[in-house]
Amino acid sequence: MEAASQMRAAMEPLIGSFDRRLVLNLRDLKYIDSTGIGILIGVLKARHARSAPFEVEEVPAGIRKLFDLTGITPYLSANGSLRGGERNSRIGG
Amino acid sequence: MGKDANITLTVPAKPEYVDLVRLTLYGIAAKMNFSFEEIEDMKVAVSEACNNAVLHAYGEEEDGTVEIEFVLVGRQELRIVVRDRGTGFDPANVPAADGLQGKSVEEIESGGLGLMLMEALMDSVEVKAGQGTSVVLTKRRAAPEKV
Repeated sequence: MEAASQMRAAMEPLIGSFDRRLVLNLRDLKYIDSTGIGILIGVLKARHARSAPFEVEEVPAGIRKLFDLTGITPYLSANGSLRGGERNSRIGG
Repeated sequence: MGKDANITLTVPAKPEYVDLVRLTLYGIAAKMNFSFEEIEDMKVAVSEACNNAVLHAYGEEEDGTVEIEFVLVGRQELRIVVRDRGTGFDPANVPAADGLQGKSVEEIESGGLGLMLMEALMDSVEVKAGQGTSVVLTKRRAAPEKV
């Protein structure tokens, strides 16, 4: 929760670029709580309202577990299958 | 560590002190031989309970505190009581913790996710409201006792 305002500030200018794909790389994320997941939901809804894509990638296993428990996982990827913690080349761009 | 033991930590109800609670929890749970994954689960659950206290207990009041009592029940069980002295809340007003599954993007909301995570990650969660709020989180160690 302590980092929530920083995350919001970092995401803010990117959310409104509706003509561009937005991919959040979570490779170095060590911890997330419901406040952080709530921010992702806010981004997701704002982007969805304008039919703009939003995805996350390289989700560490511990974070993925929390995404699965809350049920947010299918919303964070184009095909409902979240890409995992291994390195992936970006699709599209 | 055969008998029950109590360890209590009191921190200001501010976000920057929640990591101190996680560090303390780590030390206690590691001493009890909880697994890495069990400790990670407890860290998330305890943080959610502390976040609720930080966000909702005291309103604009600046000097509220959160008390975290760790009760080591024998060698197998850790009970964590997160207690504030704030305004208290009615558990009936907490959004249903039913997750996001099966909903459209328009329907999903973040309310209730904290309680849902606590319930998913701990063996039991009890919320007591009165003068302030207490959240009692219990985790039993899965691995058998080493001889």
